[in-house]
Formats: sequence, C-alpha cells, structure tokens
Amino acid sequence: MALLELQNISKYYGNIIALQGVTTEVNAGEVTCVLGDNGAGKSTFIKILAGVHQHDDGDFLLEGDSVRFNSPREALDRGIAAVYQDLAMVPLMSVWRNFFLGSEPTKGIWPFEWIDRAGAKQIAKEEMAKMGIDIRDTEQPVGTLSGGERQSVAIARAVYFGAKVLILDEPTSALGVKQSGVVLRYIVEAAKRGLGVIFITHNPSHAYPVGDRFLILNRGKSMGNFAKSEVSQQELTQLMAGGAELEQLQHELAEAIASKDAASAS
Amino acid sequence: MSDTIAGDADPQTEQAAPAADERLAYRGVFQRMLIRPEIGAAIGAIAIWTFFWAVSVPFGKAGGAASILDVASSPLGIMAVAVAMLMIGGEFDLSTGAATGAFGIIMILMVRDVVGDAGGWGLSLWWALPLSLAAAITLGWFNGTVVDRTGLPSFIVTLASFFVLKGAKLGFSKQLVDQIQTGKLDDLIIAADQERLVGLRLIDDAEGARQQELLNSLGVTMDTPVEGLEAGNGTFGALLDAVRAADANDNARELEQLAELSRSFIDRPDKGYSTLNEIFAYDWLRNEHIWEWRDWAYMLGAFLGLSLLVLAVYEMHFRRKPGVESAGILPLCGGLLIAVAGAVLTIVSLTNRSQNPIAAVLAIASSLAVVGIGLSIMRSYRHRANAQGVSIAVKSLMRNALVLPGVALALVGMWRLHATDSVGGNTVGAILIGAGMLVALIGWGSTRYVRRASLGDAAQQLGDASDDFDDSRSGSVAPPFVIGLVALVVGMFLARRMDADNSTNLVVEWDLSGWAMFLIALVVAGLAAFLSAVRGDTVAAELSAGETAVSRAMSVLIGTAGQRMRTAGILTFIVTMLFLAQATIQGARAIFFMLLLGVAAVSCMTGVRRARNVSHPLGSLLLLIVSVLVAGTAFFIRAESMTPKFRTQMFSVLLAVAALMAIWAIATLIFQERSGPDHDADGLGRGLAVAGGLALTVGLFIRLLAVTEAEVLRGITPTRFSVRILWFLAFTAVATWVLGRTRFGSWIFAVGGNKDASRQVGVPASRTKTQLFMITAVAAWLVGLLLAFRLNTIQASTGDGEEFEYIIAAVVGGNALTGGRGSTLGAAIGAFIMAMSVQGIPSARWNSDWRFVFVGVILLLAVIANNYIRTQAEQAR
Repeated sequence: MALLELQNISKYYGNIIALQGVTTEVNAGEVTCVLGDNGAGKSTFIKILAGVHQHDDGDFLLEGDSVRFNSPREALDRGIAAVYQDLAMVPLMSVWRNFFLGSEPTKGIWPFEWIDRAGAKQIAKEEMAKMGIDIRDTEQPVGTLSGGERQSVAIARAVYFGAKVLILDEPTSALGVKQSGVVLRYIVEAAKRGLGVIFITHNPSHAYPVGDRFLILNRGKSMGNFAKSEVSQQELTQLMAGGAELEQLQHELAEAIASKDAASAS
Repeated sequence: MSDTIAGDADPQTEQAAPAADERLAYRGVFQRMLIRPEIGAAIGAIAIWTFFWAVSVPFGKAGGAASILDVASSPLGIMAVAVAMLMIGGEFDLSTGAATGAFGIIMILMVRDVVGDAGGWGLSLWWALPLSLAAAITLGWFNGTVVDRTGLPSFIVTLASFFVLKGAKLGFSKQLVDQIQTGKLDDLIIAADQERLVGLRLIDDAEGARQQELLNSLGVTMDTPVEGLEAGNGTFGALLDAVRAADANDNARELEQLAELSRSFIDRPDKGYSTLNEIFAYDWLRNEHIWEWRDWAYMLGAFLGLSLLVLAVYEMHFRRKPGVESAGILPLCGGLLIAVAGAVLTIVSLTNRSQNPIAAVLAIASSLAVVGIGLSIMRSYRHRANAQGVSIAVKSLMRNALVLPGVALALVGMWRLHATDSVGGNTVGAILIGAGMLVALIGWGSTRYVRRASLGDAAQQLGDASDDFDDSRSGSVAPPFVIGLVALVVGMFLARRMDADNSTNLVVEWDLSGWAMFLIALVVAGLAAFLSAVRGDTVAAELSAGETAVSRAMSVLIGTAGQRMRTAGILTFIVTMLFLAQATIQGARAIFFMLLLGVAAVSCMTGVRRARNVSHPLGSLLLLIVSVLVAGTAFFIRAESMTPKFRTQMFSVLLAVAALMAIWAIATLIFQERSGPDHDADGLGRGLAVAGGLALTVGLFIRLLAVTEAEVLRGITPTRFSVRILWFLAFTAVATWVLGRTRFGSWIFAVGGNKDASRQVGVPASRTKTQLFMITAVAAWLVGLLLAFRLNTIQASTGDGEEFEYIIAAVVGGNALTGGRGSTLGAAIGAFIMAMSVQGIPSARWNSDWRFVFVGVILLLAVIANNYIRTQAEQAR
C-alpha cells in the first residue's frame, strides 16, 4: 500500500480549473517528483497536500484512509510537512529557534513554562549533523546561512518532527549549481531514512537523478504519471512543456536565429 | 551548563570545532557584545548621564536620581517596554497614550458613588480593578482582532482607537461630571462612605472631649445607623454641640479612649483604598531611613560588581586551560550573591520599619523571599551539576593562593578609604584596592587560562613590531594616539584657563548677546561642515606628495582629522556652541573638558585597537599608558575642580577606570586570547556578568535608598522614591523573561520577523499578535492605575499624544521599526534616556522647551548609531 495516494484530485477556484484529474502516489523511502512549468498547478497541488486548500473532487488517501485537512496544523499532525519556496524561516532568528519554531520544547509548569534552550540547541545540532551539515554555532541567525544550508535546516526540521511525507516546493530554484547538488543529496538522504518525499520543480535535470516517480502537470492537467523505468529525461522535458508546443517554440527560435544571422551577415 | 566531568583529554570546543563553516570568522567578546540591540542605548545613556551630571547641580544627587527613576518608570518605562514587545511583533499601537488616561478615568468613575446627574456605580476598588482590567483586555482584543481580520496597517487601526478614546474621554467626563477631569479618588471614596464621614467628623471635633461618655449617655452606639444621627432632629449635631460644651477635662485616659473610638470609625472598610494606595502609590522617604553601614554596602556592591564584570569579560575572552569547567562556579556565585543581597535587604527592612505595618511586613517578606530564592538556586544547582564540578570550583579557588589575599587587600583598602578623609589616606586606600584587585584577578586567571608562551616572547614580538614600525599599518597607530594626547592636554589647558576668571557667566564676560553667540556657533559649524566636506585624505594625498618630514606628518594629521571631522565635527560644534550660549562658566568648562576628554578617550582607544592588529604587546602597552593618563587626568580634576562632585565622584570613577584598564592590559599581556567559540565559558561569562550587574545595582540602590546620620545632621534635601519604580522593574523583568525564554517570546520575534513563515510552521500568528495588543493595553491599564493613585484625579487629556514618546523610547533602545528585532531591556534604557532629557534640561537651568530638540537629535542619532553598530557587528561575522 502506498503511503500517500491521490486519485483524480481536482480543485476549482470559482470557474477557473486549477487542477483536474491528477493521480499519483508516494511510497515510503521514494521520491515522487512533480514537474511543471509556471502556472501548471504545482502550488495548488502542494497546498492541497499540506492542508492549506481542500480538494473539490477525487480521493486523497493517506495510509489508506481518505482524508481532508482543514489546516496546515492538521496535515502536520498526520505527518505531512511542507518546506516552502520561501522556506518558512525567520532570518533574524537563530538556527535553533528556527528549528523548533512553533514546537519549542519546554520545561516547567504553565504559566511558568520556559524553553529548554540547552536541550533545543543540542538536538538542533545533532539533527543537522545527521543530515551531514555541521553548524558550528546554532546561535547564529538563519539569515547568515547560505541558501542550501537554509534548505537543510528546513528539511532537518521536518524530518525531526516526525514527518512521514516531506513536500519540497522548488528547493533548488534559487540556488547555484553546487548548492543544488547539496540539496539534492539531502533529498536522497531524507528518502533513505524512510520518508516519502514529494519534490516539486521545473527543472527535469534536477528531478530525474533523484526521482522514483514523476508526475507531470501542465495547465492544471496531468500529462502523465510515470515510474522512473517508464520515462527518460528527454521525454520528461518534452512532456513538461506540452510536447507539441515545445516543438513549435524550437521552430520559432530557429527561425529567429536564422533571421538574426542573416541580418548580421548582410 | 555542561555537566561533563573535567579532565577529559580534549574539552576545548575550539579545538574540536569543525572547519565546516570557515566563512564564519570567530567574533571576540566585544564584537559579540555589540550585536546586542540594547548596547548602543546603554552607551548613549551613560554618555548622556555623564553630560548632564557635569552641567547640572542636582543631577548626580539622590533627588535627581529619584526624579529620573520616577519619570523613567511610569508611564514612560512600562509603556515603552510593552510597546517594544509589540514593535518586535511587527505592530504599532497609537492608542496607548490615550488608553492610559482612559483606564484611570474608567476606574475612578466606577468607584464614584454619585457621578453628576448620571448616578454612579459606587463600586469597591476590589471590583473596579478587575472590571477596568477587563475593559483594557477588551480594547487590546479589539485592536488586535481588527488589525488581524482586516489586514490593515496597525497604526491606522490604532489611530482610530486613539481618536475614539480621546473623544470618549472628553465626552463622558463632560457629560458625567461637567468638567474635563474626574473628581478626586480619595475624596470620592470618603464622600461615598457615610460612616467614614462620621468618623472623620468625630476626629475633627474630638480633641480633648469626653466623647465616649457623651455618646453613651446619648444612647449612641457603634451600631446606630448613620441616617439616624444625621436625621432632621439633629441628634448628631446635638452630640457634637455637647462634645464642644463639655470640652474641659482633658486627661490622658479620655484622649486614649477617644482615639480608640475614632480609629474604630476610621478602620471601617474604605473600599480597599488605603491598601491599594500602599501598593500603587507608596512613597519611600529616604530621609527617614538611616543606615550607618550604607557606604560600606555600596562600596562592597560596586567592588563585587566590577570584579564580577571583569571576570565575565575574562572568561569570554581568554583561552581556557584544558580541564577547566564552568560547572559549579556560576550557581555558587549567583546563589551566594542573591542570598547576600536578600540578607542585606532583610537587614535594611528590619532596621527601618516604616510606620506602616503592611509595608514593613511586605518588605521583610520579600527580602526573605529573595534570600530563599538565592539559597534554593545554590541548592538546586548543587544537585544538578555534579558535586565534582562544585568541588573543582572551590578547589581552583583554594589552590590559588593569590585570590584570597588579593580580595583581603582590596577590602583593607576599602576600609582605609572609608576610615580616613585625608588625601594621603584616600591615596593609600585607592592604591590598596587597585593592588588587591590586580593580585586577585591575575591569580584567578592563572588557574583558569592558558598563559602566553612567555613574557620574553611578548617582548620579542614587540621588538619585531617596532622593527617594522614604518610599516603602513603601524603608521596608523600613532595619529589617533597623538590626537588623543593633544586633546587631553588642550582640555586640561582650557580647564585651567577658564578657571582663572572669576566670572560666573560667559556671556557677560565676553560681552556678547545670546544671538551673537548663536551666530558664532553657526559660523563655526559652517566652517566645520566645510572642513568635513573637503575630503581630508585628498588634501593629505597632495601634501604627502611633498617629501619633507613636516608635510608628511601634516598629511597624516589632516587625513585623520578629516575623517574624524566628517562624523563628529558639525554636531559637536553646534551642540557645544548652543549650550555655551546659555551656560555658566562652570557648565561651559565642564562641557569643554568632557568633550575633549571624550575625544581623547576615543582617539586613544582607536590607537590601542589598531596597535593590537600590529602586535599584541604593543596594544597592551599603549593601554597601560592610557590608563596612566587617565589616572593623571583624575588627579588633575581633583586638584583643579571647584565642585565637590568633580573632586570626589569624577575622581574616583576615573581612578577606577584607570585601574580596570591597567589590570586588563596586564592580563592581556599574560594570558592567551581564544580563537574560537567556547559556549561553556560564554555561559559562565554571561552568568558572571548578570551577577556583577546585579551587585552593582544593589549597591547603587542601597546608596540611593538610605541616608547616614551625618547627612541628616547636615540637613540634606528630602527625597522620596515612588513604588512605581518597583512596578517598572518588575514589569521589565517579566517582559524580558517572557521575550527571551518562553515560547510566546519566540513567537513574538517570529511573527515580527516573518509572519507567513511562522504561520506555516504552526505558530499561532494571529493569536500571538492579538495577545501582544492585549499586553500593551494591560500595561496601559497598569499605568492608568498608577496615575490615578498618584494624581488622585485624571484629566480627560491625560496621556494623549504620549504614545510617540513610548515609541521613541523603544526605538532609542534598539528596537527595529520593521519588527523582529529588539529588546525590552533596550526599551527600558530608552525610557531612562527620555527621562534624563525631561529632568536634565531644566535642572541644568536651560529652557525646558529645548527638550524637544534634544529628543529629536537623540532619536536621530540613536537610529543611525543602532544601524551602524548593527551593520558593523554583522559584517564582523
């Protein structure tokens, strides 16, 4: 049984079809990549999974139960953690405070509860180390970390708080080549630890090496849902851009370049 | 605190530190201090205090301190702290000022029996308090909810609340009582309480009368309804007439009986007024509390506090020996200190029982509680930290034979200083204290920190450094140092010259009107601006093209001076000249001298800092020279100054500074600095710093709160400290704890820093913000109560427009306008700065309207300085 299964999920905003008939599955220890160009419905897709929005049609099965989340908190409680593009980090706050934000460990009895700072720092450091990052000083503000390190804090946080399904929203989009590689390693690391990972991206060359399953979205519709064995990177790219459209675009590009060459030659 | 057992092979965190993030350079202790948001405010507060202390007579005295504390605490301080929390949470509240008055009015109106034609509730204060609190919470909830639901900027929403409150206050007050202020709180309660009225009347007419008997003969008992007495047949009037008629025999026994009767009337329920008045408007009359040991306690506190602060810096700065651990020392020191403070407080409250038994009992109980807390901290830590840690701490203290004799020496010095009043005695005392501190601190260090390879090596290094003294880096050491020296000498010269004239007023002396002075000030300022606009370094570059030694020296001087001018020139001259125009010769002298001293200090320290980059021993040696200069300045001031506060206070402070500098210089010569973080040591350092600050504060408060017999005989001005200071301290302490240590505090920073992000990770952002508005409103309620009990009546306009002062205080204290960064402690310091401007300008006998100029300049400077410090500190990462 798949950890998470979506069958013909649809979402409408009034008369706009944001998502229609999307089907895929996420297994424990595997990475499911959701690929799509801008406006393909990726954001709507993860917002449904994370409980920000609710689906209007179809079945959303988590460990076999049909579920419908009313808030991100509910999704979190069921083990679905989302790491958003903007990272959900507070740049001026320290690494350990960000790590535990919203779920700080406390000591004492209400109303005299205080944060267990020493414990929190210790755990944050250890968890980061497990992901292969060595943060020397957990007191440093997150704003001073590099993009890749911030992603790692977010991923380590989700893993620590018992996520079964980890949703990563474009984690590599704002990163350089090397940093992206580092983040991809964290993704594999998380999957190795038994999580089901949903990796959302518009870059097939990032998705193909780490993914076990690929869902391609275009204008709110599913362009296909493949296991890795069924599809090549080339085909992925084709499908993402809507196949024929990309060919058309290439054709136009070729023409434009030819005319430019002609102009410069004359 | 680490519980690891000492003696591990490799406990040095810095050695184990991975090279993973080598981009993060290690920050030294001073850099790390600078990153705190309140540090700029603290430095500013000290500078401003020193400035006013120098130019105004009452500023350094207990009375001045009392009024600063009073203004700083309430309404300003409490509100500034609350507003700071709100600002960290990313919101503003413009209704706070109006709210303070509003809640006071609401409370008074609830208590009144008859309010104009509209009637009144005539509630007991015990009901009025929680009800008005509920009103406050409702206002906060309203503000918060509207801001949250509509998503409008909070300052628009709260601006609306402000006008609603302002209008409602005026409207209701006019409608209900037909004037723009409420009636008096105590009067109203008395008027509302008929029985109390009778009691008062009996007292009024009672002197020397045989009232008890007469009352009995008339058949009046305590149970007789008051209405009966007051009834038309005039029973009560007849009673009083009879009392007056029988007013012949006044023996002691009858008086006693009378007093008892009167008391029985007076002690009837007064709706909680007298109890609550004690809590909200109690005054500590300093002159009634004589304590001969005061100066001893003060000196001990100052000595202990300074020593602990130095130890804290040591601990954060030097490299620890392997095997040295924190465990045990901090709880020992902290607990001991708190216990001692509590014991001192207990003794004070036992020896100075005030007339009011409730206050006395409260004071004793709270002091005992402090003792208890201290002891329990010691005990609990002893259980948690391993016993080994404690024994190691004690052993390391014992093992070093130098610490205890050093402390003993210092104590002897203090006794000497206290016992004699002669110059020789004081000098001996001061030298003993300095030597004792040096011995003890070096002794402490030598058990804990790694020594430099040897002093010989240091000397060698110094020799190397002086070899390449022509090096460009070492070349930049000399100019600031020379400028510092020149400033110092010029300052001393000026001070002497100005003292030579006997005139008290510069303006008359120079035969210039204020306007002429103003014009001169403008011209000078313009000149300064022009000079600063001409880039010093370009001139310097042209000059240095010349090959002669003179032109090269001049180029260096102009280059450095040009850089300094740009930042300091304009403001310094404008401010100096403006104040000069109104100052007496004493004040002018003080300003000049302090300014030049300040320039000298900054320049010399710049030189020292640069020297450190060249070679460490050189920096330490320069620091030693500076400390000698400071000591020299102290003696100059002592010899030259006419005012006692310069002769004694300034002298001792400068001497202490010189001693600390010298000790630090020697320590840095002997011990190695750390090159990496050591959280265990930092934790201990922080604890020591807190303990030191506490000791200093306790010492200072003892000095402020008590008088000696001699002072009473001399007839010092009476001073009263209001209980609102305690409310302020308590509020700040709780707010700081909440902000720094609890989940709610973490969430405040989170919603201010990035609201969406914090919501995504499960922080209840809306709830947090609404609660913040509620906290602000509750603070306004508390301030309203304090105002009502203090003033007895509240004007309809009380507090209106003061919200900006709260915000300014918070901003001056380092709180970011954009949210997510700041501190409540900073806001409290900001409140002190504002209070000093309120008190300092009139007490320096300048027109108090200048205050607003002052506040504006301070605000601008504070924002710029905070920004600058922050970027500097963050670059240094």
